[in-house]
Amino acid sequence: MSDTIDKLKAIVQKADFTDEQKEGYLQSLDGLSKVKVPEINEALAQLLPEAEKNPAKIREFMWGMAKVMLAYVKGGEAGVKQLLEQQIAAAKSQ
Amino acid sequence: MGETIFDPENIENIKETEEDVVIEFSNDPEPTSKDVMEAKCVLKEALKDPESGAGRRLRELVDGSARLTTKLLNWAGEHKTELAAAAVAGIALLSPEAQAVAQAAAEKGDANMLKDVLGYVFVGALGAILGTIFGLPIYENIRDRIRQLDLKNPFKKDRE
Repeated sequence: MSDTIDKLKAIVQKADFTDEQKEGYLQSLDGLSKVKVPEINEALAQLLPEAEKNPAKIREFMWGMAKVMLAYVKGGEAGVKQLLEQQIAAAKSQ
Repeated sequence: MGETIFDPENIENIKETEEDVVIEFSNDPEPTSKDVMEAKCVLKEALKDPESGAGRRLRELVDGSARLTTKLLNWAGEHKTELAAAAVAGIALLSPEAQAVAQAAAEKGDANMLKDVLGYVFVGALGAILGTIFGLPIYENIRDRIRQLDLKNPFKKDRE
């Protein structure tokens, strides 16, 4: 897990991101490294090979995660469920 | 900590909210300008009135007391293949398991450790996105205001 986080942090450092993006993503990855939940480990492990090919995948990942948290702030559990339903519907239509 | 959060044996009822929620984020991989405006509105509302529903939930998110019911987690688990890895990570952060990690961090140290665990994930991910579009001052403003929230430390009483 820490190896995955370290590699993702190295990608962030070298990526063509703005300073505030780098600061934010590094901070977020530090936080994620402390939450040892299997689903988070799996998600980061899935992200790493994609980010190695395309660092912008890290931005996508952070936005996807932030959306779930924003949906919670806006509407609690119902908000999260609504967001996920939208994502599932979009995935099914592809 | 090795236990999965999507436990089909432990089903609870999904909490229904009385609020009329409309989530208006796009399904684009990166935030559109409309997404950013929506995010800004959600945060502005939450920061304006900490006692409102949104304000309370923002505090829950960063102080380790947010909860998604097991029923929702199970349902999300059944659709894992359709959900992006980022969404799964976001859900996992709101699971009782992850929230327990945040509270345990508070138990060992102080509220700042707790902020490090969950608050920084949120502020880092979101602040970077908003900051990119609106500029550094907005990012710093959001980051600082969330950091300054009077985070509830569930173990504070024990230390007093």
